[in-house]
Amino acid sequence: MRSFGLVPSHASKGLTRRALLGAGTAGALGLTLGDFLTLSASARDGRSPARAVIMLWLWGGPSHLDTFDMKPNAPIEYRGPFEPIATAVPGIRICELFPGLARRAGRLALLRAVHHESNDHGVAGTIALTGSISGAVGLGGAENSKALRPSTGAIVGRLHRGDPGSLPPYVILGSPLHQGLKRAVGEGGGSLGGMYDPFRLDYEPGVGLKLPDATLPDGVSASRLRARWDLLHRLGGDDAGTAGNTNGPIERMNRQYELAHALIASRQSLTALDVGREPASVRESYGPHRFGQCCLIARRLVEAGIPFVQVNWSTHVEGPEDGGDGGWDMHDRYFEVMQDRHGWMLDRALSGLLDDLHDRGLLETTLVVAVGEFGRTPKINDRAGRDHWNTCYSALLAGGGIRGGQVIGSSDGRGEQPVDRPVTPADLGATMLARLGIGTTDLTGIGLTPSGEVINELF
Amino acid sequence: MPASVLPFLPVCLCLALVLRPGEVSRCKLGPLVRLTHDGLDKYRPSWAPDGHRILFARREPDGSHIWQYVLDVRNAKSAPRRLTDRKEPEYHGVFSPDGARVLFAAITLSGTQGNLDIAIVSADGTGLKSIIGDQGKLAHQEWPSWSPDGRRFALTSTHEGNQEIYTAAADGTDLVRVTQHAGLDAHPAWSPDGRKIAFATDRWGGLEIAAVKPDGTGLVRLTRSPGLDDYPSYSPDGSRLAFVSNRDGQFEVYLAAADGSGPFNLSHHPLRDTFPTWTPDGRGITFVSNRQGGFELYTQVLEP
Repeated sequence: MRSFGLVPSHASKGLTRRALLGAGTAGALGLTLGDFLTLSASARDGRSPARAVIMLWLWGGPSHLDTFDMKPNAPIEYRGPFEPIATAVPGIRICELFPGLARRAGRLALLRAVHHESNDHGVAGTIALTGSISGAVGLGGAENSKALRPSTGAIVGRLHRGDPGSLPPYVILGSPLHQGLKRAVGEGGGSLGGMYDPFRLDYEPGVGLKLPDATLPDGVSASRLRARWDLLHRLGGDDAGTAGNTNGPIERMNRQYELAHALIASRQSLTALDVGREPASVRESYGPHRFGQCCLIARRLVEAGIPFVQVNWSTHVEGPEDGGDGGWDMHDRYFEVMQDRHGWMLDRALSGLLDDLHDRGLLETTLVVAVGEFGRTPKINDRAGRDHWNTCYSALLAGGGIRGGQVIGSSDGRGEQPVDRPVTPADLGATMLARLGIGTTDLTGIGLTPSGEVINELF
Repeated sequence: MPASVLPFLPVCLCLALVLRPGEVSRCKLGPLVRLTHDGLDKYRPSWAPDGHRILFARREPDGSHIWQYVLDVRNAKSAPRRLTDRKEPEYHGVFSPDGARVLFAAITLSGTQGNLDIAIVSADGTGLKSIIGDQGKLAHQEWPSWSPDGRRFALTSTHEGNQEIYTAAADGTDLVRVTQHAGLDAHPAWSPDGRKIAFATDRWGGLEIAAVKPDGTGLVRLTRSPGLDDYPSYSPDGSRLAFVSNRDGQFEVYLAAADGSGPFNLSHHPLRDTFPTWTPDGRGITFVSNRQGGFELYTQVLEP
């Protein structure tokens, strides 16, 4: 039997690159990826409470005061122009820009006292994605000298007992994150090695599915890449990709060639991921924009057995006004952009995702998390915007066996500091891992020091 | 109250609800005309006085660019054309009363720091000039709205530490502050008789529509509703006000008398309707809606 995969995992150490090459004709690889899409997710060990996590990464940092922790009684300089509305759960009120989520509040759990130690996008992003400041790089270039921890998704990818032949278990929909012109760190394998970096896809309205990692360097044709890949394979031996140092430059290069080769070979079959194949009513329920359609792709990936999918709201923290592509970092024009774009887009995409997962019987086994790297200043700044605020912000969770219709933690009257049950990104990461059946023993087994505590009140 | 009247009270109350004094007569609605078809996000449509050209801002597919476009609606096959050849974002464009000039918010980028200034350009795209920039500190100017004689315009600015309404001469000089409140004031609309400027404000909690004289006196609250009311637009004869409201749980275009009385839901659609503006002849309201997928411009014709 032929078996092959794109990412060697600890569960597929017997998979050799020769086997991959032997099976790696375009047709065969395409067939497998096509088959993958038709297969229902296989239960990996049958013990984990959830089978997948979808993390909606709200890059740039949404304001907690204008989303899920409103302060209508705060002074006018704090509360902002939006009002809270009642939800389906008595006592829980959220921003009027989220009527869809208000109707679905019975499925939602809100964390209102998330906090950590940095208000720099890059550092906060690393903390939020890995649970640790280790290895973080700030906007000014200052680096934390400790080893970068892997992202939660990369840990899932490392420990995933996947089926040979499946797509990599850690998929990010979106390009690598940036603040300004600087690339943020924390989405990848970190100390586990580049082998566990995410597999990236993206979607552009009017164009369709995109494969950011498949972009070839100038002057490198597909045939030339294939020849170089074959040469590397012959030189590297069958086990080059699975033994020893998985973070060395040769291994990283091998990984890139393998990935590029596979993607080129499978480009046609990947059209099966095209959301255009979904019924129009389903596509529309998510909204026509890139983020909504990426949420739909995330559902398809989870349905097909991928255990961790991250959907990036944007590549840059900044909006077009500041040279970005529409992130949440709105130091000015905050309320206008919230009303005209961000509010309804998130409401529609997340509502559509929750309904779709529920209708397909996947919500109970899929944990959905929506969070950014921090919140925003409770006091409105002098440009009708809000700045960075890391000492208290909110996160939204749904599905994956959590008990909906609850709020965990609270902030003070102005949303400035946690009052009770503060939690950290490390706690959130530990909770996601625990839902997927990954505990401290699993982490120490791959050389990671466990961090964070599971937020047990969620369940 | 005589006991003999009590049996008729429910009927009287019902009649009172149906015939509320001051309610704008509910227009008979004509056809809904779709003007654009590209599916891209659009913002603040504004008609030229000839009724042939409409200006709007559009977000490009890459998400990183927002530019002003002009569409000539006489030819159904004509494509919108860029107003300028600028690379940086621009929006909030509005034709002058004579149709010869356009005011808009123009962004200049310094690295990843954007700055919003008010610029003016001839309607043919020539003669671009920034006319209101920072007033000594980083500040944002946006949402210009012409006075009916074209000699001044209203705008919002943050240069004094809070977003307030101002007016300025058409060349950007003589900046005069109109509002004075710690809340946010936004989206001014100058009335056709020149006597009032309607705007959105959160000073009473939530966004409501208010009106003020151009000299800053005579502030009047025009809406009182749960939820937000925003983007006011006076009819050409000044008798009515269109605005967006989510008071019914979703974003709809509402129509009311100029004093805010008798508001009713004009657009009635479960998806999003926003940025209303009147056609120059007052026989239609153009707005942005995603009722057929992407955000497009529509004109709701109002029958006489």
